[in-house]
Amino acid sequence: MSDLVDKLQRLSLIDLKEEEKERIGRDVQKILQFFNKINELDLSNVEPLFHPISQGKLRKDVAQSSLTQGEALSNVKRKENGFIVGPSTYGD
Amino acid sequence: MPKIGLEVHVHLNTLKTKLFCSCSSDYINKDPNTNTCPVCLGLPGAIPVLNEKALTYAIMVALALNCEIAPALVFSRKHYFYPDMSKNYQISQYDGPGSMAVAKSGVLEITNKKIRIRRINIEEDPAKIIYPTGSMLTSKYTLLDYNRSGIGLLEIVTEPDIESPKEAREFLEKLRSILEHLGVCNCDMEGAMRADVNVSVEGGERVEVKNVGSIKDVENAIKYEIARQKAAIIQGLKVERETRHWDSERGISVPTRTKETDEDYRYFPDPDLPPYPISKDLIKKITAEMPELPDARVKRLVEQYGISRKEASILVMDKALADFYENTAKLYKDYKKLANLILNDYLRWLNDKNIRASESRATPEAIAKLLSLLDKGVITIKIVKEVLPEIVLKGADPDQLIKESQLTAIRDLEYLEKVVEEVIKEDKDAAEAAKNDPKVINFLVGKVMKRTGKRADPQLTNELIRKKLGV
Ligand SMILES: [Zn+2]
Repeated sequence: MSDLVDKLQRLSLIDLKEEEKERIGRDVQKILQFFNKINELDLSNVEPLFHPISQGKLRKDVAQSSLTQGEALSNVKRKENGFIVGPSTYGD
Repeated sequence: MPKIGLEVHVHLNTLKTKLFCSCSSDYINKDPNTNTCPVCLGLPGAIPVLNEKALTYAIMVALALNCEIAPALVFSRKHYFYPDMSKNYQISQYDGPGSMAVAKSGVLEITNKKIRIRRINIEEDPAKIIYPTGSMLTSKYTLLDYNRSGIGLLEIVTEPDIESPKEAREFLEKLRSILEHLGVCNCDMEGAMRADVNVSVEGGERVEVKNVGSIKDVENAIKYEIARQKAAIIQGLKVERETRHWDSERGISVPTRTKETDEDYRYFPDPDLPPYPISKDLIKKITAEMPELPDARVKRLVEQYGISRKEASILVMDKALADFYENTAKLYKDYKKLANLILNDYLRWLNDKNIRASESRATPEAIAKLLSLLDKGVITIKIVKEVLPEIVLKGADPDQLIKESQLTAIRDLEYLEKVVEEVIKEDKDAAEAAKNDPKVINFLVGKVMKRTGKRADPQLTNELIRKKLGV
């Protein structure tokens, strides 16, 4: 279990304290047990269903107006000359 | 033999809109973040809807590359945390439970060899990252422009069948020509074709070089990687599986982020995009409407214009060049002479300036006129070659050009005879030798050319000299 929590921590790019790891480990355990219930069922004759809706739809290739820069950035905390400021992408 | 596989990313930049929203696909040179909507910004609750034409284009490419087409179009979420993707997943395709690529198991033929295509994916492009204080490797923070976010891409993945940098180049040139003939990509545009390059040499693991921006760079990156990996193995070092970044300016690859295995992306079918069936009828309809492809065009050019297969292949490698040839051939009927001019001199000037045929300023009318002037003897072949760059690079009109620079050929017999007499008189030894040696006649022709500012008609001059010398 602690391996799994370490992996989830790494994939989510977050730092967990030891006590958080324990608590989350217990939660993850519960979630997995819950889903394991499904594994108890005999589903050998059931086709897997990946979508509740059987068919998607398509859209015509016609452009519509976009948001203004002000609208697009209205929820952005850090901006610079119309860009969104993000973290460095290299190293830790 | 090194093993090379390519993952080519092709911008579907002839679409009018992005892949899953109605924002314009024309994002280049716009102010940052002025070409977005809730879908391509990745705002919670925004629902993506696929561009119908993107599916048509993907099927066209799949057919052109002889692929098997999936029974349904299914999208998966590819999860990763990076500033260029605000919703923390990219809508892509994946081979796994409940999901599959739009096409697989194809083949593209290059000279004497078949390169297998593993699969074709449709996916969205992330936002553009700018590094304000240095490079990707050194910048303290990043700036993000979401104008590009959501632009439709095809990812075309080969099997590791390529064995040299040259083969990789040929594969990419042929692929580019196919994409241009299909009209799915304007490959001259910035970033329209990028590739991830996988290279492994004997005794080493596979190394991936990410995001190489041009065909020339792919060739260079492969050359560099083969040399680097071979050198490491000779020194007894291990070549481990890793991802590297291509530094185009320095011409070297550098290591990037840590290893990522496939399952780290946690793919699963995107619940926002239910499957869309690809019917036999739809494939039939698209097959019937397919434009002419490069291989068929090469064959037709050979039959229709009587040019060689090699000539036709070079023309067709650049669609705009083949179009230019055919448009000029409507106006000028000596097809071989035309092919000769375009493939030698015309192409040389394009290559010299590192531009493609689509960027040439010459019109078919100008080239047809130039060759007609040559046929009529108004100008010499030397003059043709001299004025060509002005026509190609500046769009000059041949009539105007020749009039202004007084470059018309001299066919005035009386005048030419006079110059020939002078030249023979001045160099009696050469004149004597010329009686037994045609090479010396050419030498005398050259002298006449020089004296007339290259305007003497070489054929006529040659005849006059022979007559004068009695040979
Ligand atoms: Zn949008």
